[in-house]
Amino acid sequence: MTGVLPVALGKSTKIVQALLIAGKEYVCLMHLHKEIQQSQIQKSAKELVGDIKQIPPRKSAVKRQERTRTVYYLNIYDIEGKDVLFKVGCQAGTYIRTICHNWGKKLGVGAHMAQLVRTKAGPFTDKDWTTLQDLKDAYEVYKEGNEEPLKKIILPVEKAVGHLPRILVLDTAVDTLCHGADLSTPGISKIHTNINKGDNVAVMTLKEELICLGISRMATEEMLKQEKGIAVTTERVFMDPGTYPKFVKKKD
Amino acid sequence: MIEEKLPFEKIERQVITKRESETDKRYGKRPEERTVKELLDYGVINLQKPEGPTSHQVSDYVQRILGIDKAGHSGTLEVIK
Repeated sequence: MTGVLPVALGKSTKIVQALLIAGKEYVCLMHLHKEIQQSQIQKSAKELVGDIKQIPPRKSAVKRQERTRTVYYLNIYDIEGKDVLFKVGCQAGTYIRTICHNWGKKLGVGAHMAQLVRTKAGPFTDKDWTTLQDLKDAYEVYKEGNEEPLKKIILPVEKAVGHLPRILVLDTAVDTLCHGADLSTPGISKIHTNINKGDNVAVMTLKEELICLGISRMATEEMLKQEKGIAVTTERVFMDPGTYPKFVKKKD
Repeated sequence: MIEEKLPFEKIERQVITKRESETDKRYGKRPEERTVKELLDYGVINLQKPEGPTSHQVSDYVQRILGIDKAGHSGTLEVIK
């Protein structure tokens, strides 16, 4: 199977955690085991959207235990004989192979997944992906002294959290976060709307550099209003301590 | 057709200022100003995984092409047998 595979480099590799839990989109070719009326396939497609129950396939890496996943959308693009081409947007950890299997069962003819391409992984899409060959070529050009093509291919790590709401903090708040401390409300400079308590958030500097990922402990409105209290509990730190200077709290 | 948007693509967000402040130019730098050398340690590639090798093998190729010690992929794309 092919498709969007974000690869993180060097000390940013742990950013993949944020992408593992992000929504995905696939284009899939399903092969039915017997021909069936197109209208029936179209009708049943609607029943596959929403919360679905799945048992992971035999060859999967996780425990084979029934679990619920959300299918956000499923659109059929083409039906030719026994072949059905469709696009599906779903929660992380949804097995498309299982969707095909269950769909075939529902139709009473049986079906399996014949081909699969991932077209979205969180903020990354098939619209602007890079091939291994492009990467190789760009690296050669870089070795010859021109870094422009490679700079277009290697994106700043911040791009990988493009799907998360962000909170920008004051310079004075950066270093303690780098040491793993939680973010308290006085450190906040700018903030995204529509943050809910419990959301995954990206905490950044005013230059929009990623400092850490965390879980919000307040909604946007409360973060704006409160002058004390924890706004975000820090989960994973990316920025090295010492990047910004240490500020000592003034005693009143 | 159902609109093809993941949940995060449906949420519209604006930026609100709680406390206006300048940032000191001497520390850090804007992500788009990073050099390739910096990106090799703090960057991500939106790679098109080819048919054939495993996701793990592909991230190994990337390491070798770029001459770096560490690269990690997010979410295995299984090989169809």
